[in-house]
Amino acid sequence: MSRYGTNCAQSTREILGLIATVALLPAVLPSVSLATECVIFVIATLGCNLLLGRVGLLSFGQGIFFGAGSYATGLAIVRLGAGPVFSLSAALLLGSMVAALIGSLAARRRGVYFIMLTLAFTQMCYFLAFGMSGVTGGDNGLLGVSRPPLSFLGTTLLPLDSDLSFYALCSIICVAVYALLARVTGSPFGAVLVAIRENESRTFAVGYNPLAYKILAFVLSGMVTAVAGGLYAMFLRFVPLSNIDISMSERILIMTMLGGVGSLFGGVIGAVTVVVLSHLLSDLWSRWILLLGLVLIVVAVCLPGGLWSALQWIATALRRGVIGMSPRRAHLPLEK
Amino acid sequence: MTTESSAAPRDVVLRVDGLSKRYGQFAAIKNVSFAVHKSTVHAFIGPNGAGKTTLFHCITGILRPTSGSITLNGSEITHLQANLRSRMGLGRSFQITSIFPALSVFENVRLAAQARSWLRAFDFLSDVSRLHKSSSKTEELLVKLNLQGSSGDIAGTLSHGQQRRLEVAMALAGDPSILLLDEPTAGMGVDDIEHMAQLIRSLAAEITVVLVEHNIPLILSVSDVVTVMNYGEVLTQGPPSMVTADEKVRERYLGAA
Repeated sequence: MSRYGTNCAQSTREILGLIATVALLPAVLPSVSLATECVIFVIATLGCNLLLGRVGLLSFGQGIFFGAGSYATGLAIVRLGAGPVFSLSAALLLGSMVAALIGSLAARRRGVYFIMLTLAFTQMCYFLAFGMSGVTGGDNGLLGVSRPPLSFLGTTLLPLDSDLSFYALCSIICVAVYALLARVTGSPFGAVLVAIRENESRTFAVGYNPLAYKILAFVLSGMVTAVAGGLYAMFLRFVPLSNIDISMSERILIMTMLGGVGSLFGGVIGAVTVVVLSHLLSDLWSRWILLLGLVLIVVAVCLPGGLWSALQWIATALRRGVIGMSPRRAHLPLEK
Repeated sequence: MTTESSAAPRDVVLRVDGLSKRYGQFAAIKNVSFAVHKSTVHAFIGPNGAGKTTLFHCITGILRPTSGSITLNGSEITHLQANLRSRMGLGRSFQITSIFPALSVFENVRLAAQARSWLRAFDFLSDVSRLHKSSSKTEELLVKLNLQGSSGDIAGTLSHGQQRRLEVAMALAGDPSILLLDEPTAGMGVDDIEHMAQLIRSLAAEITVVLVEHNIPLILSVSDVVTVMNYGEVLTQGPPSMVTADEKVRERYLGAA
């Protein structure tokens, strides 16, 4: 496997794995709504994975893109009566524009300063959305977001009123986004992103402009995350202010890190795990976030590569037949 | 300027005029001027703190000079960004090894090779393994640098000498017209030093080489021109035989070495 990301065969396997996952989720989870939430956050996590996993940028700005997408889609539906294609395109456009602006400023700095800049932008955008209550609904949220049917020349192709049909739309977009990002990470452009993560000054010295690449990665990440935000607005049928809050950035980051940034599929695992765990734990105890924190600590300490690395270990062990061996041989190292 | 007067201006690949770099009151380099001629090996020597690496950083665009000008193949590059200088044919290696440690040796060199094409550098839809031109260039360089056996190894696991050779391969991947090597043999074993000396000599047939080194026997064996720096200034410059015979150089650098 290339260190740049994934090769073609692995991408195909992962995309098939994702298709199987989205096909099974509504059947194994308690409700289609929960499955829809999972798929929407998989999309958001894929956007974050591109920045954190490929370029090594820990951005707290993902909530801005998610919120911008939510408001763009919500406003297009509420104010313009637009259909899903136009509304989600508006999210994509606004997300990319906001990401270009923030990326071009924040990506000029590295490390802690970069993180602080993304935090500052997130706070600014939150209060901007809070203050512009005439447009965003402020603290009450943007109400009245419907799910207009997917239609072409007046013919309804897919009514989105039912939970299952909306889930189908989210799933199709999720698989398409995954395929696109898998392509990007395996491309010459994706290779440069990894080079920047590994040694930015060397990347500069061999002839690349790291800032241009980081801004483009931001734009791509912003577009994807904003589409997830747009779908979330349609899913909830309103846009709460929390969509653009710093807690949304944290949620997306936790999903990404829990799943692991070694592979795009880590994002799928992370998003599904956090959404399902949140649902299960919130039924058990009102302070469930504490338990989620514990899970994150355990994974961060014991599995720095996230849940994806654990799955890889199990897959390798199964392939080499270590599991099922006598305990005396099972301790032998798996690599070489 | 011994070297300038003996060659036609069109042969000058790199010209530095009155270059200074100041940090407040402290001048790391002061009014440095020289010309590097095509297909020559031009070495810079001097004690630690003489300003050799600062000069390299100014030439390659890592540092902006306070005053003076730098011309590469007739084009002024004094205020150009480092990546653009690289694309104009200025390759470099670093004093402290600078590679992509988690990537394979092959990927390190291919990344440098693919930077030559703007279109390829921003291509986000092709498969990176299908960059045939960059891949064949990479294979050719790995053979040249005797790294073909380590092509698939993770660069961070290579020996120091191999990593230094990898750096040179990365610098050569951009098809430079001039190659700047910052202490290419630092920390190398005897065998590796000999291999590097042979490599520098062989490179001079195709491109121009500028190097900073402390290894005086190596400098004397590979260089056509030597510039001696001291306290940020050019002490003297000329052919190795002339420089080693210079009383000031013997007193301030070679004698103390």
